[in-house]
Amino acid sequence: LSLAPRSAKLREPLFSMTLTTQSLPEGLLLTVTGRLDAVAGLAFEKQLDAALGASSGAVFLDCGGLEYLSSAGIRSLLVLNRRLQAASRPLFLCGVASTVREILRIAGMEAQLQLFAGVDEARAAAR
Amino acid sequence: VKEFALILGGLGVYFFGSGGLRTTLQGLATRSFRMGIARWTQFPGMTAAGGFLLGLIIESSAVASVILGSIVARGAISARLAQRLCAWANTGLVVLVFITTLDIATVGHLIMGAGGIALSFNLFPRLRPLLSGAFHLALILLGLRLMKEGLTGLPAMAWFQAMAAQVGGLSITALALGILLRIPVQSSTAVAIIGAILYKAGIFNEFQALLMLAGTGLGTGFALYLLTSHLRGEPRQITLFQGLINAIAGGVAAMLLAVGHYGGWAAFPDLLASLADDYHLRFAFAFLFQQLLCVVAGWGVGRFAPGLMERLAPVTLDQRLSKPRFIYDEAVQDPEAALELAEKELVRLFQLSGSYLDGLREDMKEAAEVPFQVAHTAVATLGVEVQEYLAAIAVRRLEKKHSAQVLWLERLLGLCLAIEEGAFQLAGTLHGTRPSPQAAPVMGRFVEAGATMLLAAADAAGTKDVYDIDILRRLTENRGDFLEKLRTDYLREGHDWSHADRALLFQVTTQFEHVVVLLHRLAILLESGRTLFSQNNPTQETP
Repeated sequence: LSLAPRSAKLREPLFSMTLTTQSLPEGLLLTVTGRLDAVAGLAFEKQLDAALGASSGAVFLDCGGLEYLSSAGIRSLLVLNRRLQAASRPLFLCGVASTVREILRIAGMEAQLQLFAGVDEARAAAR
Repeated sequence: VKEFALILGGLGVYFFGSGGLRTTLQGLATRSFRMGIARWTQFPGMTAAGGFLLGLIIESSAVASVILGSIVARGAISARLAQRLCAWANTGLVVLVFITTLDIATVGHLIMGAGGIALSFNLFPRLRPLLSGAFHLALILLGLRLMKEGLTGLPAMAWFQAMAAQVGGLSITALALGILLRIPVQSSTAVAIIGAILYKAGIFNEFQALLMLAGTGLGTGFALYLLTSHLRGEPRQITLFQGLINAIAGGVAAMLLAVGHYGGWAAFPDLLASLADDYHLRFAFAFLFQQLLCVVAGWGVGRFAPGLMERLAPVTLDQRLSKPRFIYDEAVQDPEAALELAEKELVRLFQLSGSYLDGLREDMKEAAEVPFQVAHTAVATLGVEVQEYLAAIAVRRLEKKHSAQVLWLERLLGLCLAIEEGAFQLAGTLHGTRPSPQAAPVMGRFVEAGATMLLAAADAAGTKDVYDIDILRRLTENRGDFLEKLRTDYLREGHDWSHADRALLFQVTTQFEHVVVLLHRLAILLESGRTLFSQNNPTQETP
């Protein structure tokens, strides 16, 4: 990630998230690992700009390697969902850990997002 | 006993009168008065007149500085301008001293009679403030006359002569009396008048009585330092500045008197003697001179005062946050612009409230910049500002669409403050209780979920965008049954939870649910507002 840290206090979490992209016949697979928090959320949205611009079709966000999702991270998901909705592109969240899923459930987000156990299930649903 | 009763009675009547006059006059220091001062004094050369008027109406340099401090705190005027106004406010106090030099006992009785009867039988209710002010002024004059009568008889008494021989000969006693009396009496004007009476009674010679007057300047400095120690930041800076310049003026006046008395350079006493033959008028001029010295001192220390004051009373975080960033009084003249600014300020309230759970979030524990208690204080202050601002817009003659917008913004503010209070309670519960390691992850989920919803609310209020409002509505819709089930599930699964953990879960889920219900109402209100604003101004419609 090339985004400069906002402050020394936030430097540590900055390097704890990675986002990789892979083209699929159905669209784009994004694999996020580590921690999606306040600072990583900014980098996440920035990297999405480039990835989404160069792709089309559905977006599969593989959260299997996501250790922690903060409220700021959830907000980033909302931003992503909004952008994709505007472009009529569905978003599938795959492999969301139970603790993260619980936060989404309490926040009322579970019903707003399409959640799947894994990428394969999501791809099947997309077809 | 008779003399003592007269002095005591006179003091009582004087304090009652001055208290009533101050209350009546301070009733005039409403928001519109403050707005007027703030607006009027922006014009070059009007600072002196504005400060004089403020001092005349408030009748207390200390209270004037507290009021100016509050105006600075809300960002209506700069600290520099407030300092200048503060300095000039001292000159407004002189008027009452000059009034008491007039022999208007008969007029005073007439005013007291007419005013007292009118107030008692509630005659001329519309003139009540004026009648009350006149009545209390007449009481002040009566109190002074009673004191004068009592004090005049004292020097003839043996015990008093003995006591005066012990302490009266010391000039320092007069100075100390001026300093000490100023603290409980809370009025330099009153001490100045008492000094004149003590001279007339022969208790002090003119030099000593004038020293006592100089002592009021130093006393004001001490009084402001001590009595406003509860203030923080800019309000404290302004009161310290007032105290400092009064102390300097008092010190300079005392030095000039001492030089004249002991050193033979009597320019100051000579100047007073040339101005008036009457002792009472000389005291009034001495008081005027001292108050003008305050203005000079204010000008002299003005350059380095901001740095010094900032060191003595640094601006606190909540004061910085509670200072309005968008609303300002002059904008009220243009309701359309004023409403837009009020809405932006309201969004700030939502953003501040949205940060309450930051200190508990795993990713923000160390980075949370504002403790939630500090933000809460700032929101409370700012909320009142926005409320007053909307009230000031509402009393203007408004077009129908603007009236509807004012009402809508007032509802939004009410809801915002309710959500803020709910978020504050939730944050307080979560901050104040340490759950066991078994229960901590569950509480952490409520923190993240709560923060998400508050962020969504701040976004929706800020953008008034269809999507953001819709998301907020959906996140908060029909959540009662779900949260009840969630609570039951957690309690069933949490076999190893302590009683405290279970109690905490109940409290947190209840408070969380309360916030969610309020957020849902917010989503509905924002939807209606969107319609309202888009009807008035189609260009605001978000595609």
